Amino acid sequence: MATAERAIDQRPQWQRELDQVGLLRRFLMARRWYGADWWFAVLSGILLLFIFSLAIFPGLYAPYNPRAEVGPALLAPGELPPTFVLVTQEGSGVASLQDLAGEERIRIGIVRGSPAASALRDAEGRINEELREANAGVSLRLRNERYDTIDEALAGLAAGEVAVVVGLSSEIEPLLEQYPGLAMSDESITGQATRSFVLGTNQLGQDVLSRIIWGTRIALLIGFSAAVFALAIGVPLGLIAGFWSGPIERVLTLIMDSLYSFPGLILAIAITSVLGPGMFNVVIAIATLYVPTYYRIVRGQTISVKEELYVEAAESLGAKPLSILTQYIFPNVIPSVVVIFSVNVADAILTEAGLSFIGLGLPPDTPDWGIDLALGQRMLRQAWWLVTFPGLMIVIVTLGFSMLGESLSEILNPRLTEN
Amino acid sequence: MANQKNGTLLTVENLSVRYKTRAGWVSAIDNVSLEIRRGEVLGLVGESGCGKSTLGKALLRMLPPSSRISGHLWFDGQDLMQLSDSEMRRIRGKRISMVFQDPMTSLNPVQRVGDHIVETIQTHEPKVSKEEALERAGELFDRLGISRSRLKDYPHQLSGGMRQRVMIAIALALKADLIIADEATTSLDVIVEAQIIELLKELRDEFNLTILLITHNIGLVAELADRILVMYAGQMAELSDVYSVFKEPLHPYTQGLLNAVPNIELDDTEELYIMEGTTPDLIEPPPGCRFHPRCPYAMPVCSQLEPHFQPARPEHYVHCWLHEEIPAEFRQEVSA
Amino acid sequence: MELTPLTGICLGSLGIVFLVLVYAFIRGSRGLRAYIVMRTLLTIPMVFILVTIIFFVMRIIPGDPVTSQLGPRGGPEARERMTRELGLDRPILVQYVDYITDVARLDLGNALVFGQRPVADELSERLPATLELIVPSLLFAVGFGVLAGTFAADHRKQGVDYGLRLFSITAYSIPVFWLGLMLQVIFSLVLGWLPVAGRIDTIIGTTLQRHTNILVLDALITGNWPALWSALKHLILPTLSLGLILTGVFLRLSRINVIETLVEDFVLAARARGIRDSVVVYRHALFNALIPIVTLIGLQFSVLLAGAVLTETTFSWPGMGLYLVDRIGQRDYTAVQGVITIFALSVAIVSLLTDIVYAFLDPRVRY
Repeated sequence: MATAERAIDQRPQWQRELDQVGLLRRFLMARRWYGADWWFAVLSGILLLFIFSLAIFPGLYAPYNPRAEVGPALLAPGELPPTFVLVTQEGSGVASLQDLAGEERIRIGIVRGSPAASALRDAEGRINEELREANAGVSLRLRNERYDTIDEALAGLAAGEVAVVVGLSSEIEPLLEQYPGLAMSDESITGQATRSFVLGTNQLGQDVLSRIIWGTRIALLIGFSAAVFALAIGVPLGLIAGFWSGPIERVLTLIMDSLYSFPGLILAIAITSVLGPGMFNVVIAIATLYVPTYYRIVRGQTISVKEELYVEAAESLGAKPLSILTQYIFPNVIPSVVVIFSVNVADAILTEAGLSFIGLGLPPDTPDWGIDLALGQRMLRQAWWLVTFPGLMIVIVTLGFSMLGESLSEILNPRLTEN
Repeated sequence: MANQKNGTLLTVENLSVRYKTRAGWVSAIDNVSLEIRRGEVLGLVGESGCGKSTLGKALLRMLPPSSRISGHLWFDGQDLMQLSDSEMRRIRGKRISMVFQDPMTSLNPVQRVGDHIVETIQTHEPKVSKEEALERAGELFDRLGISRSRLKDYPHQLSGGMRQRVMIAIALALKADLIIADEATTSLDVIVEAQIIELLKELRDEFNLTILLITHNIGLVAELADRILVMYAGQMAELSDVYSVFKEPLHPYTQGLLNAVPNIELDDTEELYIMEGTTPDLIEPPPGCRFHPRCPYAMPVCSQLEPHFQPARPEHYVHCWLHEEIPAEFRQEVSA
Repeated sequence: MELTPLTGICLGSLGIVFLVLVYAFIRGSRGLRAYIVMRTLLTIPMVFILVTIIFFVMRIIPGDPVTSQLGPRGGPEARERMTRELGLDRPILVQYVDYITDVARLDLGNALVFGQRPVADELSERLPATLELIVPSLLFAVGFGVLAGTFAADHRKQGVDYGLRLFSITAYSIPVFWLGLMLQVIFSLVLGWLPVAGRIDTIIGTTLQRHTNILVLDALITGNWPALWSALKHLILPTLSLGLILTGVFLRLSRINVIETLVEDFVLAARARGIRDSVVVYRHALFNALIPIVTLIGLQFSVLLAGAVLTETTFSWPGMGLYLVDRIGQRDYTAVQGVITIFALSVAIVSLLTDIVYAFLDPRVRY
């Protein structure tokens, strides 16, 4: 027993040290040695912690519900929503929409196709609810009279065809001079203080900032699940394949090599196109892509470690293969696996975004970056912000994981040449 | 010995080289001063880590960027330390050239051997056409005993001895004034080594070469060199002509080196001489004389004060208290 | 085997591969010949496995092409007819054998939609477009990546080096379609310098005679300069977005290789001969470092194809990638299967080619 143990412990110096110094301490000690890479790892770690907090508590950061229509459509970042004002005949005594509440229907002029219509509808609904609660006994009933231009609408007002005109203050103001008898109300019909949206809104009126924050959760969820699945299948297979070679292992390796060489996205496309949309299917598709990577690396390392051991401990005394695997091979494999995992998550997020962009991934109303990009592409001319910010998030998150993987790779698997 | 012109070719003055490692500053060369005379072969001997390779590289100013050099290198009236990079580049290969230890790794594996020479020629003499340069390379090959058909071969297609000849050819391509041979035969087997040494002797005589022969092999030096400089721990230990050093080695280290050479007539009762101790730590060198921990004749003064490198005999310099007047305070009372 | 255009292209490229193999074989040493034979033989099981995987993915995984095609409206007779047409009623092994033999003859079946033309025909129409996109992108990526990587290696640990390293990590963290969209926004919509999408201006496009269907080449051949200009303008943004993404990997690899080469003995020896620094770095070190790049090209080919799919979608570039995406949307499984098969085959062939070229270039292996 003693001889074999002594023989087995002919492992290289750094391996024995690894037993004495835990991974965490080694990481901390690495600062003195690895300079820039250590800082990289720490910085990307901090970035990722922030990203994680976004994913776990999106409510804390996101101002709105990502699926809710919280503002007018296609509002630019920081742009104030258009104000719709009332224009009435001077002296009519109507200062706001509420004043029009009464028994009869009021004829109200708006420009055809103007967003004033939906703002008006909202306001009407809101006012009527307030009136009902106050038991006022009256309600606001409007009948829209559509004009082709705002000028015609104002002319119609002046002529008495309609009681009131609603439109954009920016459009109405310059034209008011021509109609001395008309007056514009001070406040907007929506009544409340309007505010802008930091990153704008999309074509469904959803807040872009909230959507991309909530998107973090989905992205990380899919990325991690896929990576974990791939790891759970690839690593054990790799260990087994490295340890026991044989015809089955050769065939398996051939299959894995073929899969590995195949364009990842296209394989994922194939799988999702037959499995159908849905988060689980996407995870499966992406996980399949990465199993070969884990398999190859783990198998390769297992083989090299195994060869060392067999040379050292020629008389292996019934040390069970399982214990060799767990005690010697597995710890050596961990650093590489950690690095691959990190890069894997980054790549999974990219692949998932690509799938969603094509339309193959998640249900269309999910607040996902890829979907946002697909939606944004349709409005590219009008709304550049719809594609810029979700994409930027993808870059930041992916970069975070990639940088972490890179710097960990330098620290955990030091390369001798960078001296 | 063909010393036709006995002028001094290169004067090294107070050369010190330090470089930075993770553990601290390593003092690789400490205050070395010497002369290399035109037409001579100066053998530079010492064990690994004594600084001899560093000296060779320092002469070409090819030390790694993390090193600090001080001192002067007077070559042909110029101080090489003051030259700009591009001026130094013009010296390399043309006035001073180097033959490296391992010809397999010192030749570009994807470049034909003939092209190595052609490129060197064309770099320093841009007006020379490719055909002319190739012709000159061919002549060199002839002189060095390599078939001309090998000009277009790749390094790995040649044998070890041939590769080393190619390296010598490259060094001779522009008829450099000084050739530094850094462990040039170390990676060769003894028979090939002997051939190369013969070749070097012929070339030395024929071209009146000046060679700095860096090696740890004292036998080699005996064959080829006119003078020997023994180095230890980055400092000069002993310097004189070959005969004097072999006949009367003054420094204990030199004695140890000579004793360590296995005598072919060793009988069964004699053991191989092994020098005690190991190479000194150059980050924190021993105080006083750096050799004192291993010296069989060490005296109290040796661990306190460094001796001076001065002539114990005419033209025979040594760095040892055995051959220098010990200051009064350290003189040992000889007990009766 | 029918002589479809696709068949022609495939045979042509196989012919090129064959010529390369023969050339390398003749000029090479015994070691190289053995390697060529082994590597070529290895391709066959690989292709086989890929094609099998594709088959199983498309057929075995739940999802019924007939239902997807006909929708819930199809009555039982229509379903039966279609099932029989597609051969889906036969036992799976028979389907499999049929599929393999079909692929060997490059008969990829007929598309399920839009007139049910042979998939092979539709692909051969679109192949030149994809080629016109991926070849310049790859050239850009390799050229820029290798030069920048060498530059970074030469200026190690200086600001430029860190900047370029950051660039290369960022490059493959950026989704290729987002880069395309951003380039469109900046250069087409804001600056108006370049067109947003498509291969060529429609009107000018009608004046161009197609021979190879690679528009730049056709314009050159026919001397149609306005068409050439238009085609080039349309090519810039897609090439840039696909190329920039790949640059990162080549930059990293060449940087590492040049760094490792620069500390080798022969570099020191070259410097000791007075060879200029720029020559040492940009000729000697780069050439030595270039050889592994060839292998990397082979590995990156799959990434190139995947990126091409997304880029074609972004720029409405009528190549095989866009075809794939379109047909998926149409649930045209036959077409989808055909495209994926062709992709798999091309990956196998390209990787074989690059492995052989690599072995040939390294004189240590060749002689």
